[in-house]
Amino acid sequence: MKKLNVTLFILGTLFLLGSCATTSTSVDRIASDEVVDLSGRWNDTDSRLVAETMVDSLINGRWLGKFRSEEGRDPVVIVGYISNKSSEHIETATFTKDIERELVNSGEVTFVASSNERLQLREEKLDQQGNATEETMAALAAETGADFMLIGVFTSQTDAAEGKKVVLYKVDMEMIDIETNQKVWIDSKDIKKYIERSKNSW
Amino acid sequence: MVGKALRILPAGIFLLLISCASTVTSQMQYVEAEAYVKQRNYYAAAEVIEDVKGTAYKEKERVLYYLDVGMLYHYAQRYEESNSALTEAEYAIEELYTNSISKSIGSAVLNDNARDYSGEIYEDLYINIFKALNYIALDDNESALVEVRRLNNKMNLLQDKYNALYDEYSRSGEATQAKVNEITNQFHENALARYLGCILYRNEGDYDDARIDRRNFNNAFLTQPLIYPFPMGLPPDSQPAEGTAVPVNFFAFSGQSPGKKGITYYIDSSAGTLFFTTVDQNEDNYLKELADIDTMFVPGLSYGFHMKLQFPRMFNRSFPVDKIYVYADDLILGTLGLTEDIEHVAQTTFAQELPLIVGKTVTRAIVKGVVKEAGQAATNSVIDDQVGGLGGELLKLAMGVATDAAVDATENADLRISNFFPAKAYAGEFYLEPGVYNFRVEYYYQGSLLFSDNLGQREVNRNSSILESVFLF
Repeated sequence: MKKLNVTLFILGTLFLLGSCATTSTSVDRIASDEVVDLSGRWNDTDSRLVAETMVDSLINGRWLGKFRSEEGRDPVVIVGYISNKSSEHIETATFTKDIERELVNSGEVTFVASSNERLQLREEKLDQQGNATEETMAALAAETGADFMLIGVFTSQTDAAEGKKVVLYKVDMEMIDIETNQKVWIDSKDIKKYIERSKNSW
Repeated sequence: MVGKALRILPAGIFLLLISCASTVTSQMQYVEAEAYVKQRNYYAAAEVIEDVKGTAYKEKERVLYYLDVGMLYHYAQRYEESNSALTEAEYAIEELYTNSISKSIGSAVLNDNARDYSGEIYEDLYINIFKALNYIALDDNESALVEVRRLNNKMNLLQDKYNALYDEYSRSGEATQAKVNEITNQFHENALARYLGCILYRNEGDYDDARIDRRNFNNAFLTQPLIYPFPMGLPPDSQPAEGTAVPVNFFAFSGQSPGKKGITYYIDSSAGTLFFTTVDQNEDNYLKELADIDTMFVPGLSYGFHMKLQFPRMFNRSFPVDKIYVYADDLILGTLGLTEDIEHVAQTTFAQELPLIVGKTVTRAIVKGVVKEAGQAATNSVIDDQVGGLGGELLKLAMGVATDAAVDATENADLRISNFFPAKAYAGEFYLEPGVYNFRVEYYYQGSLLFSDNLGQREVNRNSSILESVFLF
């Protein structure tokens, strides 16, 4: 009889252990620059780190000094399209904003609005022509033209086996002279991630 | 002593029966949802599925839930909601690579329904095709290509996935009872993904990658006759054609991907006779039906042996379509070719896993049978000692029936499978002068029109227009 009791107890306990897990939610606020890797996918920390490194390389490139000595002013830069050719959905808009922020804060270049932003601004300027006073209205055809456009591309390579995965993210960026189409600066930044998924967990 | 034993036994049976509520696959929600799908009211079908979240779909069925609603939202042209659900399914499948030891034990003791459903191999692959089509509909070519690349990456990892299944089986101890060979992956290249990739790369102006995907589309057919046992259709062009005409690409999906049903075998003994009873499951309403009874005379055999085995069987739900015509402004553009037999891929990949499932089921049923017989023998002995007589015999009979019922209730095949993937995928490319056209897709079998899908007016411009037609029922 003891055997039967023990068998029933084990059967019941094992199943309850397996099936009666409960879920709960807890939220903790953390610093926005704290590094948190959950899934191993591209995240805000990667975006920020690449943007910082890229801008550091950009403003220390020879092209900047050359332009200043030739033109006697800071170059005017615009961030163009950063395409995603990786196998992950990367929020390139976040990355573009990170780049813009770093460039503006560096004080080394003059920065102009992107094409989408310019459309909004032009609409506003047109609206001002009929609605704002003459003294406060923004003038049409007085925009600052960009000298250079910064473009880029994300790619990734994945190698995986037995629950282990290595993902190499590569961000290639180029600064192109808008007038001559000359590439004046090129750099790339890699982020390699090793992700190991445990095959077993309780 | 007897009073204590008799109190504990029903308590144990009760506990098992309650536990078993979550170890049976819920299928009845599909009957109502499919009625809406037949009316092409996919949004209402999605609402039916959403209403039973938490009941028919528990936390461990989250992959199944997101696959079902994700596909229905796709057909309902609610592309963002579809992407959101299919992404949840994809990420959950990825996370479930980590096996829960406690749930593995649960599945070894009870059945595979105790485990988190981590998706059939074909489901994990075709998620990305439908996400790509969602992004195309949302005019996001770049994100659609991300999905194609994700699928191609998964193709490289299929062997790893099979190894994980085999490892789990080996670790469970069941392998000591039933030896099963390791699984060798035979699916390395996905033709539909390459077809789609070729069009998308061409749209991006990336003709080299388009050419590579076109070549790999051909390779998929040439090197995998087991997966693609039908003639290869024409691949899309990897470069824009000369002249003013522009390509228009069509994808058509017909039928439903396979379902799963349980085939149950009961073995019972009476004096001198063994009974073999087979119970099948109706493929339309999922109700059980007696299929066969057989007997075998075994002199000397005594009454009381009972065993239940239930195995999952994948059944096809497609219907024959032999021609799909595409019309632009009532003029025939041409026919679409079969590009991916999703049903066949599902059956082939499932067949590779089946030996592991059968091995586990047989071992588990035998272990349960041995434990049950030992328990019954002990109980009967106590009843004989303490009760005896006719009352004792009746009590033993009642206890035996109750124990059999309780153990039977724990032995259920895992019949979980997404219900709304299509069975067949067809594709075709045609050239038209830029402009606005009224498109129609017609499905035929042996000259009879099965269904006419009016896609309405669409603009054809410089980039490939990619249009989709669906005929599930």
